[in-house]
Amino acid sequence: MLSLVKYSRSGKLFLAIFLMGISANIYADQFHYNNIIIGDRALGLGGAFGGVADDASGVYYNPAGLGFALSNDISGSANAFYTKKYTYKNTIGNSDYVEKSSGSLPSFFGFLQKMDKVAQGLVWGLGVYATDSELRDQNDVIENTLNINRLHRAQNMRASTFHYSTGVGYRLTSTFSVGFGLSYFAVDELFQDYQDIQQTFTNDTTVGTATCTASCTLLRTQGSREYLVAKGIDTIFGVQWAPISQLSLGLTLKVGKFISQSYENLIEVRDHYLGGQGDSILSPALVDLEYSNPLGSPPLRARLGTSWFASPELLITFDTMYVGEAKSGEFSRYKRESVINFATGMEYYILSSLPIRLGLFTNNDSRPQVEEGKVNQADHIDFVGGTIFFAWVQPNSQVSLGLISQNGSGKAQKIGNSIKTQDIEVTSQTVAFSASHNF
Amino acid sequence: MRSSKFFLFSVSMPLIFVAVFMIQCVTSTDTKDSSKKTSEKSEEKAEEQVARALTAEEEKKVDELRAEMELGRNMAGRLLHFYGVYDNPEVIGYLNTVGRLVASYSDFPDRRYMIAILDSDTVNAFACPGGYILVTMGAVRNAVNEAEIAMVLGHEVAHVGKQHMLNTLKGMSKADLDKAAEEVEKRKDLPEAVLVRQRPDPEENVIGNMLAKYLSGGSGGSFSIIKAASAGMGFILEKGLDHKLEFEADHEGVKYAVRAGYEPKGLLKFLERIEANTPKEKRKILSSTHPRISERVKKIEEVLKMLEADEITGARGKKRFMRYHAMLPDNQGKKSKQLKK
Repeated sequence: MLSLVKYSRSGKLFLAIFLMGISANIYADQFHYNNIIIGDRALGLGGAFGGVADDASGVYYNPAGLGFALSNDISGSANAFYTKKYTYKNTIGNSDYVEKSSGSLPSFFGFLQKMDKVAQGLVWGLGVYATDSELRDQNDVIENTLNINRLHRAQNMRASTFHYSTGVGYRLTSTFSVGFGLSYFAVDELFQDYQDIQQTFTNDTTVGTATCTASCTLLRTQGSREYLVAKGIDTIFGVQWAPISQLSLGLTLKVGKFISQSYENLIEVRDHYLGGQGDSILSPALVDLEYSNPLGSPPLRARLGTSWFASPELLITFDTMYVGEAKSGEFSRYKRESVINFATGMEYYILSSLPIRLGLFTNNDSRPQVEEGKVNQADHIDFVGGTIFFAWVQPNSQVSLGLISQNGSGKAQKIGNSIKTQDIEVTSQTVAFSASHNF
Repeated sequence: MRSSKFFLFSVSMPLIFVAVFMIQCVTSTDTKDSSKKTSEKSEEKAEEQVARALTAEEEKKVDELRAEMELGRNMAGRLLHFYGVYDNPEVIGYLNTVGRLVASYSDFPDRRYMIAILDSDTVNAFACPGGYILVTMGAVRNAVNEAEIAMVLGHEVAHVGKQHMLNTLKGMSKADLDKAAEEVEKRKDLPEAVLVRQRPDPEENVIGNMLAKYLSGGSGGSFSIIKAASAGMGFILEKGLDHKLEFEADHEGVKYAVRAGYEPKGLLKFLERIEANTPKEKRKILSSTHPRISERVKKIEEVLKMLEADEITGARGKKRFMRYHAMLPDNQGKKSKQLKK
């Protein structure tokens, strides 16, 4: 976005870098599909729940699993506290640039109701859940680093994708169930970024139409606002089959359609010369973009789940998730490649009231790999995550508490218009709890 | 004159004597009657008093026993209906002989125990309240001598005598009992692929239990036999009793059978054989309703150590057991070839 300002002397790389500013490439995450793990038991199983899906979270994982539910269920979960840290290596000279976010999120609430009186094996479920959410208040002040006198950056982001889903599962035979669901989803991402950069030039530098002679100081202020809103409907089809009683296989397909979407992007850059030729204000560079179809269409999503009910005390699950390519609409930034993720989980009852749940999962990036020699590329970060949860089970209810940890690594181009790439490391820790009641 | 006086005397004396005797008799009879009456009255009174006191206690006891019997009969009936019965009077008679022998050395020798065989290949045994003990054919097949089956029966005798099931059901609030019964009824029709998803039944928290009882008003006098029997089936086939009670039954069962003269390691070997030889699907209910075999073995070893089992030479009763064992059909309904050898 800062490419509107042209620099006459590319030799002033360091100067140019900071005049270009820190890239605003931190928009919310439509590019990872496993950011938030949904559900109650599923939370501890790392989201490997497609072959089980017999509680309220079945509306998300596989509505066919509802048909195998043992009882009515009401459940909820929350990411009580999460923290996320992006570390861009060697971004400012040899220094790392760090961005952090933290917050809390009610990630899932749902219930299911058995409807055997209508038809034996018919179950209805309802769920509200978030597949993405991030709140960020970033405030950086960098002083006297390299040629920069002062860099101040204030950034706010609020991003969420919420789903309101309903589904039914129907056990056609004692071992086979089908499911159907509809999910209304709403994406709301607002990103605001303000930077001011003050820098003293030691050599003549031309910026725009003005030339800053030696010893003049340039103050650049830039503000940007991006706002993405989208609403749509996902249609969910699922089947679940138990070839032998202890083994369950589940397949879920999701296809979606946007009802409405819009994207606004407003960028304003102003440069002030202090000293040298005297104070002057350059004409502001202004970008004002509006798209009515930025995202194109939602990708096809498929989940193949396997679960092995080894004994009442032991459950092992494994899911493979495929998300197809999503061609972007008017805005190429939202182009997404197809991606495959895996998740595996284990539930083991140490005592009859105390199960431990462990999970491992991947959360791969659907954005293209960062290539050498290009500029303004989006980050590419692949995550691997783990979960550990302990639950306290009572005859009709249970609560669980645990930790979700994700570590990501990849490449980024944090500086606008620069070909330089950075290694990026991301750590994310979430303390989450869930509760459910059977009736 | 004299003669007339003598006549009068001679006549009058006997009359007087008779009169006095009669008077005495009358007096003495009256005295005896009155003392007898007093004694009878006091005895009656005491008996009445005792009878009243015993009646109140006994009535309660009799009511409880009647309820226990009724509950056990109902549950046993459901199990017989569920599994079917193996109707061989000789084998059933033999098991009853062994079971009653062990029971006579138990802490509850005065109870009556009725043992039947369920027509099932699974390995399990069930103790219903009131003394109804049901052993699966698979369990009898799994044993190799009388000592082993005696220990299994001892385990069930302990459950009955210590009223494990009855107390568990009585300890439930009315609401929980209703719910458990309802759950069992609901789950009756659920297929295996659904039931396999059931997780272990959690141990209820004391505070939570008290609170539930307080909120629901407790079970009180509204203990319904039908509901309790239905809920009891949930314990027997799905949830199992508290593991502590199972360990206690193992402990006591071994003790009773050892007292009856059997080889002390019978139950240990019986359980180890289940683990080694019985396919998982044939011990699924046993696994879901009892503690892990490894845990049971560990606890039994402690009991054996306590009993100094190595010093005891008990009877195995292999010959007699094999005679009856051979009468059992094999999995295909034929008489066991293996044991005929």
